Amino acid sequence: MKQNREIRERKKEISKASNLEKVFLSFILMNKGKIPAIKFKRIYLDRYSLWELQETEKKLVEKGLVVKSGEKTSKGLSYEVPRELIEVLSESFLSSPSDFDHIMQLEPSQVAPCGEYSILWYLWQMDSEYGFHLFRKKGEVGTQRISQKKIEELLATKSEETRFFISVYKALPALKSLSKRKYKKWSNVLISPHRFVKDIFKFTYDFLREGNELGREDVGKDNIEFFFDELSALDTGRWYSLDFFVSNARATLFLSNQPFRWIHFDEKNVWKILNQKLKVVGIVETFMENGDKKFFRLTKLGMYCLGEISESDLLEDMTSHMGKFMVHPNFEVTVVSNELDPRVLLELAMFSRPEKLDTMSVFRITKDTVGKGKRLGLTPSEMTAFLKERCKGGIPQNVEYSILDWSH
Amino acid sequence: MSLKSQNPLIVQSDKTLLLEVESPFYESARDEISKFAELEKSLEYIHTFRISPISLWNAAASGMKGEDVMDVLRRYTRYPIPGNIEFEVNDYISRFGKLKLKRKEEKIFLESQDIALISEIWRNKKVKKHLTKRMEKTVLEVKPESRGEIKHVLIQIGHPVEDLAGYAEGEHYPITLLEKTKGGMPFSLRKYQREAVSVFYSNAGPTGGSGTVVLPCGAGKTMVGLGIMSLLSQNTLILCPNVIGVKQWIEEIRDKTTVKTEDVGEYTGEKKEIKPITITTYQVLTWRPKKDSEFPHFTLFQKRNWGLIVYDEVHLLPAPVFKVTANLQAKRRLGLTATLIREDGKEKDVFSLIGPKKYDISWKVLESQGWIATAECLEIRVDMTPDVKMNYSLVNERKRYRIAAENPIKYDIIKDIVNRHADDNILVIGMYLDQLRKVADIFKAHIITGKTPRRERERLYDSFKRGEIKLLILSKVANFALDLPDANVAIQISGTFGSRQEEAQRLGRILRPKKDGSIARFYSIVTRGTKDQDYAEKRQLFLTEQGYKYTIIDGTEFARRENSETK
Repeated sequence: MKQNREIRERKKEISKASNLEKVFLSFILMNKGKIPAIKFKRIYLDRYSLWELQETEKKLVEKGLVVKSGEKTSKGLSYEVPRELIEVLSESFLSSPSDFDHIMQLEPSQVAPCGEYSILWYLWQMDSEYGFHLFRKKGEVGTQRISQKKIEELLATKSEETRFFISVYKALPALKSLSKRKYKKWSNVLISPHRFVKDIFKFTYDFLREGNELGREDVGKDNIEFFFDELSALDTGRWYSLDFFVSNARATLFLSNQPFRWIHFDEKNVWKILNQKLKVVGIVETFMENGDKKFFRLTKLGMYCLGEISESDLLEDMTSHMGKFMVHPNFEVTVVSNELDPRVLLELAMFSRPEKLDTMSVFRITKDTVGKGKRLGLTPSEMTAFLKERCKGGIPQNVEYSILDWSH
Repeated sequence: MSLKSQNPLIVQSDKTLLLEVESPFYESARDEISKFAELEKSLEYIHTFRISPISLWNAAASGMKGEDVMDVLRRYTRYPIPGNIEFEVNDYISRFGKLKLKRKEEKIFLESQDIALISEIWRNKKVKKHLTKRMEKTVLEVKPESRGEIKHVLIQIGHPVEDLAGYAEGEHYPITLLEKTKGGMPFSLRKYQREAVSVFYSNAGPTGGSGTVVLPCGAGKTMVGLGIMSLLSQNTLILCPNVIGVKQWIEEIRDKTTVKTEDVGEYTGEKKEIKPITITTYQVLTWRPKKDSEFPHFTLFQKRNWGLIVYDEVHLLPAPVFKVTANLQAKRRLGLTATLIREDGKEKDVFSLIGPKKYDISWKVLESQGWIATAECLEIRVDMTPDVKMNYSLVNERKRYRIAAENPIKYDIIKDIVNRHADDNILVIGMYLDQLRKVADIFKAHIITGKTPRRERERLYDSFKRGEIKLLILSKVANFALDLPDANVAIQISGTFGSRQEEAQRLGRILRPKKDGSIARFYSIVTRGTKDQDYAEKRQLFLTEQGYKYTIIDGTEFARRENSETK
């Protein structure tokens, strides 16, 4: 009882945490809940001052959200999130992915390897500068040529869902090429963000159909199919209460004289799928009022994953931000961050370098960033087309010329 | 659409302000923001201003309060203002006025009502060497020669000083601007020139009288100087980068003011005249017989009771003049420049010793108003011949730039450009004399370098102005103070590595508005995939941030187009 009360108290603290505190916590979480202070400082002090580090550390330790362990010397000291809080914190961060904007400048070597696909989502959020990466440690595979099977083994050890994920991806040419190359440090697989989500959705969908998420093992497949049919009938962007959705679905079952009208379809399990499986990858957004009344809405990305709209419709939506996106002759790209679809930012970051992340963010295109874009699989014409589609009045000729020239 | 969403301003948490140029509220917002923020970049669609401690202290010096600044931001912002802005604005502004420099009977005192602050300053080692003694708990006496240095040091430690010690008035000399030049042309200051004069002069109050005016090349900085000289009407010392600049000042003073010819002195290598209006060069001032001896011409600063010292092309101010300027804080000081960027990063020193930026206007704004010519910037990228390529790859890094810059393929492109502009007045500008001589040989054209005798230079410039010469080859002498109003094409074939200000100054040579309203063309010929290209990208940064666009053309394509047009 007492322990639950303590966790509740800390949950409250987490919800009230400042941005700086969230950043602090997220760095520790990325390292699986514990990080040597020396490594932490190297990452943290890249963006924040020592004063901010000390102040934030003090506050978090006082609140019991961070524990300092190990020797008191800077070499031996580690920051740790109490084990019982890791899940709570992850939940909290997942509900507000925008909190992770600050991690865009992380180097791949600063991110710990993870297996959970929810964690992959973190990485996707965090590592937009490099596109999406699957990480593995140098020590695990060395510099030897490794087989695809070995990669699957390395990445699939953490959970069953990850195994599914890898099985979906094993056919990808990118993953194939991964197995053919020698890697000195880290390796990566690039997948464009919306396709990545769609693929995750595919295996989530299969996983759900095979499982008993809606409570009845014998009719799991039909349950899930019906659930997604109902979901895809919703209007994009409109908030629905969970009660409305469930009662409406039940009424549909009854009215249409469905053969599966006996399907078990309750609020608790539906919410579990919405909040734990679909929200994570951006198919729906959820919201709780007073910790009780539950709402959700289907995103445009969700419509794409459910097959309701085509990829071109989705991309068209991503381009409808004229005036919020400008390319200048000095190779700066300025974007109004909070009015742009985050996916646009992610794609932009694949071949540019974020210089300032603020209300209006500034990215810079250089010879090196164009090289990075190429390594991540973009062609020069894809880069210029991406910019042209979004930029008011086209892009400066010298920028277009240079992107093409640098790519040679 | 709500009013907020039409607002043109975005306030960033790092205290930069982004102003949308196409907004109907652009001009009113710009005028308000300029009072407490400095223009940093003028890209085509967005102008970037920065709120800095110095810009806030300047605002505070002109009577603005933190709340006034926040009111302007709230009025024009499109999105919520980041929380730190209000705190920082109020914090910085509140620091201004706590410390005051005052004069009592020829002595300078640093005063504050805050005893703790005075104690802190008294104990600070950097400041203390400029102080004589602690008079009272709230008053420190400043060494008379340290007035500039102490202000500089106090700004560094975050305590700006309100300088109320005033200026030592110079010897009176009446100067009036003519309404009709001696050449018979109507003359008056343009609106932006009047604004710059007024901001600098500041009704002769203690908040004016020292600072820097930043105007594009060809926008008439000299006129701003003349305007200020006429308001002050005191003996004036003008420092220029070279003798040609001295001559141009003399010409303008004679042509546009009531100053008598015999009252204008030239203090150069050739003449050593000291008159009520004296014009000299940085080079003469910093000349000394031996490396470790004194600078004998620094005595010029004491030779008359100057009321104003004008630093033309202030971004070129040599280090020794910095030092002597620090001791001239009782004199009014005017810095003039088009590009307050120094490759040594000492812009801040200019601000602290000459004075802060008082006025700045975007190049493109003046272009749109027709005060400077519209310019088209073209970069022509050429490849290397196999021989040059081999040579380039075999030499060390330091020699690579020269090989790429002197790429012989550039000569063919110069020929194409000169053919294309047969009726225009063309300047070919470069860094390497061998290369320039070769161009001069090809076209049988005149070349001007640092070694060309002054009279010969003047003769060639005059011939160019009269249209007798249509093509002139220039070395680095063309970088500054060269007034060739009819030049409308510049071809840059090599430069001082990645120098942004050199690029801007070279463009500036063709920015005088053309009588027929035609546009100016600025060509840069660059060798592809080499150091030459890397430097070109860096050089172009200042101008692109002023809203200029470069069009890049492949050399082969350019030649092909040229040939087909000729046929």
